Amino acid sequence: MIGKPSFRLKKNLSTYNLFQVIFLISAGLPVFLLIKGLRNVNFYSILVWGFSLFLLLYLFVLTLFKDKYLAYTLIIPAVSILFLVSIYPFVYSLRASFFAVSGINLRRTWPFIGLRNYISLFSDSLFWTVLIRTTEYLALAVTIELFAGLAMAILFSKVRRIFLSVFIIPMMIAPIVTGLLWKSMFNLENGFINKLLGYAGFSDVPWLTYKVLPIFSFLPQPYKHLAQNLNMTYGFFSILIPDIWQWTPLVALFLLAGIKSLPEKVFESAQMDGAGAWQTFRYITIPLLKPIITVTILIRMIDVLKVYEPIWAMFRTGIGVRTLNMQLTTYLFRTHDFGKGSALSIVVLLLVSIIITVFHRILYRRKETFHR
Amino acid sequence: MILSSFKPSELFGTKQIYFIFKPTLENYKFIFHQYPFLSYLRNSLVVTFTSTFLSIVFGSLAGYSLARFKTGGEPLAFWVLSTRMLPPAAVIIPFFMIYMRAGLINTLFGLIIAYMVFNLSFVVWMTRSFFGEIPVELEEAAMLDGCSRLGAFIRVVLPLAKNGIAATAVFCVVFAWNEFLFALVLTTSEAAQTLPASVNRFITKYEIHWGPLYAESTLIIFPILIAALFMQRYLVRGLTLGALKG
Repeated sequence: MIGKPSFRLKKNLSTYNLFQVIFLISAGLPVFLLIKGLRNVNFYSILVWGFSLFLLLYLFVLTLFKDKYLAYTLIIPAVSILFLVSIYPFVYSLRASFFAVSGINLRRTWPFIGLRNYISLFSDSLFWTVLIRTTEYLALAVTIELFAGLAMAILFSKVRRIFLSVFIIPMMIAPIVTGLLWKSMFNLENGFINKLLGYAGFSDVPWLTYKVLPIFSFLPQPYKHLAQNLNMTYGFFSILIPDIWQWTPLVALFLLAGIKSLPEKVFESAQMDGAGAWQTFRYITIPLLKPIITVTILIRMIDVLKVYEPIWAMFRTGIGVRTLNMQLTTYLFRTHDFGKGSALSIVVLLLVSIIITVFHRILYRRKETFHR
Repeated sequence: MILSSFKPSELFGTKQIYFIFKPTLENYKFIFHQYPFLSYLRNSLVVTFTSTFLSIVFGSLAGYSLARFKTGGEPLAFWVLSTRMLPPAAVIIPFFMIYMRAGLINTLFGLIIAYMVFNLSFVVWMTRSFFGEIPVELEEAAMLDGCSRLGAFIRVVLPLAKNGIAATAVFCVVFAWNEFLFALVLTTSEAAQTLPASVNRFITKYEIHWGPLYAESTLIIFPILIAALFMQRYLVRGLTLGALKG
């Protein structure tokens, strides 16, 4: 008869202690913060206490139950934190979007106004302008990055991996610094870019202004206005360029990883059949890369929708280049109409969740094991 | 930019670009002495490392549970991931309102919580794929030798996934260090403001102090570029949230 091995009870104390020390530290951190913030006793300190108690309780439960319910005891803290900080704000802003919330005095009771926030949002032409601009930004940024990234990936496909670490540099720079850097380079008085264009024989380009691009400037007035409304302005392109500069290397890295993983034999047989370089590229490389290109496009779409800092650095909340993200923060910094702001956040969240759902479908289409 | 951070201030207002000039440390002196750079640095360090630490601890536990026990199945895992895909600007208004009512505005703890959420879902997703790659047989062998499941996780799985977790941690540090919008909205003074948000202060209505701005920007990106060297191998994987392996 095989009994439970008796040495199971003997646990290696040192590793367990290490594990517990980690948890004690993480419980101790909020306590430390609490002591520092004791001067004003408010909801904040209650929250900190709650957090540290939660941690201690968790530690207790984990050592008490050991392997029993391990699947759940391990996942509970992460999921409860995520739930608290993602679902709760969503419900909160959903509620706030039906009230007239004053940003000046949040504690005052909010008068209920029904759907009026949404109605005024959708009847505002600014909302539609911003929506069109965001869509345009998304489409242009993703397309240009994809083509430039593909070109870069093909150019660098023979280069050793070590040298590619240069690619990482723009991605790791804080986006706000990128924005400021480009702002200084676009500077009209002593900007680097205009100087460079000057040496090449071009005249000064009015970056960071709302002027219409020269190809459209010959148009008569109403059409010119239309071009301006469709964002064919220098300002729009000056917010587009930093994003392209920063993220094209990433697209190139994705595609490069894809190209490297392609089977060698297909190319050999194509060569034997007498396919030219262009034919090989068009009929073999692109179709084989298709899944990776799809994933890249989706990831870039989600990331482009997050772009905030470069636009802020260059224009603050300038009305001519506002994207949805900028429009959202105008409610925080300028108008203080949090009810309408919440309504817009809900709209944006719904739009993004559509993209996320599409992403999910495409990513898991081939997996039969996925159950819903 | 790094070059410009050593530039004397009188060269910024002119119409020329100078590549050759007498280097000066006046910009660095300015940010260290006449500007609360050190308190911004302290805030950045505290917020970055605390939020990274907490999200790594909780995230890797949850990641293990998702990888081994398939808790909640694929929907739960994808919900965790989807919280990361939301644009921060879309959640900043409810965050601001909740923080305002809770008195969390301009506190380090508030920022730590905000950063932890974004990093937590990332850590869960990444560690889930790292743990998933480690064969179950190793754990079973350890359990036959008398380990508990938790013990097997700590002694066998964690050491094997060490590199992946370290790379994930570096990613979290980079995200939290570079984060701008939450720091801008949720903090107001040097009591809790982090470095990226404080760069903003050099841009006033009347002029931009380019010299100190360049100096501070250099100091912001320098540690990150060093960190980037460590995670080259995991970069593609980290930035695609595990969808691609490079």
